[in-house]
Amino acid sequence: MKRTHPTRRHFLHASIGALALPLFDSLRASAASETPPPKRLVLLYTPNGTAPDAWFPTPGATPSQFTLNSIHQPLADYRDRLVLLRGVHNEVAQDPNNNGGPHQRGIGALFTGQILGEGDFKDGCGATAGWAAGRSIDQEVAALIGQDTLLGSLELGVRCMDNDVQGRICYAGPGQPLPPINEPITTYERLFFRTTPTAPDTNLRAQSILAAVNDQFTALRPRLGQTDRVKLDEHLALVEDLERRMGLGSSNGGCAVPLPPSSELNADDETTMPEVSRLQMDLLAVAFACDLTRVGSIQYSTGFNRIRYPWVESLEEGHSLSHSGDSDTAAWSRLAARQAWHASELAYLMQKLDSIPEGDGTVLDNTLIVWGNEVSKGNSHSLQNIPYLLAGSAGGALHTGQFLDLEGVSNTRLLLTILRAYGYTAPTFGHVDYAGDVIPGLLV
Amino acid sequence: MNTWTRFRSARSAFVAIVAWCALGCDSFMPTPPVDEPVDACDLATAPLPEARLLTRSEYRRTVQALLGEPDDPTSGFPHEPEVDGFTNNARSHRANPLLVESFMRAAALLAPRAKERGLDLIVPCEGEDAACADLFIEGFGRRAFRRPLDHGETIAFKTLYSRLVASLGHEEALTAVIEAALQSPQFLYRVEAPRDLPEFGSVALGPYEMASRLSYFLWGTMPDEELLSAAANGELSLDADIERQARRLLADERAHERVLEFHHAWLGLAQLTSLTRERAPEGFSASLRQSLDAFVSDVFWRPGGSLNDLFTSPTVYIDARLADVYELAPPMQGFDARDLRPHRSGLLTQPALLALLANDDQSSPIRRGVFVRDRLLCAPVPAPPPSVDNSPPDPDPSLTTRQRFAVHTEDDECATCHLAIDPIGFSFEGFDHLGRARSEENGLPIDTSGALIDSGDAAIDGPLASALELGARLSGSREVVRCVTRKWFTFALGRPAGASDECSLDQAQARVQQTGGSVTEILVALTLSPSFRRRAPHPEDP
Repeated sequence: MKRTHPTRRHFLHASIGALALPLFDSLRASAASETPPPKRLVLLYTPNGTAPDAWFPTPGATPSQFTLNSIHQPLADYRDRLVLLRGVHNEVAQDPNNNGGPHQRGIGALFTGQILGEGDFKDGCGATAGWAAGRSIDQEVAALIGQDTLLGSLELGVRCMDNDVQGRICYAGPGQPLPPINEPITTYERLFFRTTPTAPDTNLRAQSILAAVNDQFTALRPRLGQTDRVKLDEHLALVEDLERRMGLGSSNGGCAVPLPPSSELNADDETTMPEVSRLQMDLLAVAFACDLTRVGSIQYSTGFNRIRYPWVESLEEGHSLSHSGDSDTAAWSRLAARQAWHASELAYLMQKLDSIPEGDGTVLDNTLIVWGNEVSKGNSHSLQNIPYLLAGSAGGALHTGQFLDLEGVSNTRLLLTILRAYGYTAPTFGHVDYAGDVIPGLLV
Repeated sequence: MNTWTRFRSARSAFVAIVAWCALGCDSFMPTPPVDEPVDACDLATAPLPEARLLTRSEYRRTVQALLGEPDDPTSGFPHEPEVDGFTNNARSHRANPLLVESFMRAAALLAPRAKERGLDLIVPCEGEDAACADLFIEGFGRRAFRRPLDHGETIAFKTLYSRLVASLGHEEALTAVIEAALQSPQFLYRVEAPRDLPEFGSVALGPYEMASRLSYFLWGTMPDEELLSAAANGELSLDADIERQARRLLADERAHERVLEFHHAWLGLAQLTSLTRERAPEGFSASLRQSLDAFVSDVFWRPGGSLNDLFTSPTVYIDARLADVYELAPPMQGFDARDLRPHRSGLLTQPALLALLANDDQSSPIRRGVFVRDRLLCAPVPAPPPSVDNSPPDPDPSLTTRQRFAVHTEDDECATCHLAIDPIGFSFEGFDHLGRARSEENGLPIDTSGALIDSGDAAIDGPLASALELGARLSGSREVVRCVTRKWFTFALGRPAGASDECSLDQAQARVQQTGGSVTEILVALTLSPSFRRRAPHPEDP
């Protein structure tokens, strides 16, 4: 997509050009004085299932003695910071009362543990569904650790082109999906484009405008029916939260503002996907380092998508490729190559976070990255053995460097276990019929 | 057994699975249309209208009309949820943190730019005093909120002005009013408030609500001065008044972009952006889109343009790139209208649709068949069982696409549904994955025969010689008129038609058929329908 407002660009460059520093030069976590350092969470999503034969490791005598499979070779240096899991089933998605097709159900429950409501979103085969019926774990964590940052969370996308239930992984609440940002320039603007409250006049102006906006919400309220009242109350709550966060002390967490990514980059084009992926990860790392947010997600495309991966010489439409027959070994090796590329992107993000000193360690030490997929295997749409991978320990809260075969637990229990690492105290998480206790052996 | 006999014999199996589906998966099945027209429509059980948040394109056009903003401030806004292709679904399009931040950033950018261009261009006023500010707030507020401000709303803006005027000055204080207005819910949402006494179980919209419905439906932007005046004068309640306004809006250039926006949603053209097709030239998808836009505008806006024109016009718009792909003489410049009889006829043979409804390296009878049922007949087929392998067969140099897809109709389990899809798709086999006409594939002759089975309109069911015949058949179908009217309804109201809206669809359809299937009449007829002018009562209505 060509961006068509040069004036806005001028405005940006004029306001920050003089301050600009290249990304990552002398970056240091600005919240480093906090003890213990803050925890962070990242959700990572890739579509259409994995190649299970190239994903699951070879088990050893003990959980720590596993051997990485081919997809995870790019992560070999970080082997001891990973948790690989087999036997986590997306049972909620298979609930008889759920709505929609397998990709819809799978992505809806992946990080929420909830079924989908009724609705008019069609999957590629004609099944219909609405949004997921509950909050995703990143938003639970944002509620716990993300109250005092500029952004509660940062949802990033790489070629997420479908804006329906198959295109959303994060939910602020039931039926409240959070759209990802696909263009790095927009991510950059969200992090760094705002008026810096300096002169008292500017403060008075900003406060007066916000007060007038609040007054208009109040004035409109008597004109609203019940449904609209709920809708506009949601909106007002977001305005108030934004106001509060903008008033939180110094901007940029004391970090120098980096140079913006090119506004000419076409994030819709299939050939720019690797570049967009790196830029989004760079910006997420800066956001963590500057403590602008502590919760993020990077979503690669959407369920049931047809994208191609020319840079790994995989030119098939993604969904069709994932439907290849089991005997088509060439197709499965191309699918594995796509997944291995995603593993290398994860390795890049880990390196970035590991390069930012924080306290006695690095930001990576205080981060957990959770990688998931809406189905485990495309050609059967299997929702068993979802390829969840954990990277990092969230500040030492998790035992890493292990492969566990759990032989059939609901994903709601894994999601609960992750939430415990961030201080979540409720007894269960997700759909009540599938909720259970934490998974043993993961939490320190 | 010839093809048609085979289809006929399998028809009973299709009907059986439809019956079975009605027990277990009724959400997949089309609702049978109600055929009896009725005079007054009972909207008592219609869904309540929801406050409708401006979409990206509505926001862009609204700030253009309100402030004279020439640039697009929405490029960083998040995309609206897409429901059946439409991005203006009232229920799904809600605030989220990114959108609220985007509104705030856009307001902070747009207000000073409006000031630079001159506040006089928005509301002229001599002098720089409180009287002038009051005039500005009243005049600008009425346009920004698309109705006169009430007392509380006026006070909110006056308070803002008076807090800032001493330290920042008159113009800067008014700029702050603009910035606040652009973040106010009265600007961002179209609200239809509880009011009036229910009459015949439903409530007439207020005049300003009607003005906004008309302008956002037909222009995708705020009402102009004439509509606001008509609302003020109570001239938006009679049939003749509404019809006059609808025709006036349709005669304006602004309706053209809106009509294309509808067609992009209806036909699913958003996917053209990421089109990848083997052997396609650079820029192919952009050319396809412009070519289809030109075709749609041509048939829609020609005098008396009708659904018949849409489905049978042999015109194709060709630029140098498409000329190269389709082996035609290139135009001198830009796009040329070419009459491609007898090879092309209507929407179904437009290059953009043929290339869109294909796989990367081969035609897709399935996508083409599903498209016709879903988008043109509003008669979708049940989804395949969850475990089915639905990847296309690998291209086999010894077979045609049709032969490779034959497995669907040979396997009994698949045949039941695919007989409603594939025979439609097969009639398109005269066109490959780039939309090129072809008479053979892999050295074998192409067979373009097909059939319409259980289309919902018995008058058009039967064997087909080709997609050209399919287009001609569809152009005369009542069900197609109904379906297109239904899609326009979804676009106009921001929600799909429910059971209580069928009556409005009946009235609109009757009107459209009286005018020979005129496409602009679909829009006029919808603005006159009860579902457009009235709403179900709120529990809060007095």
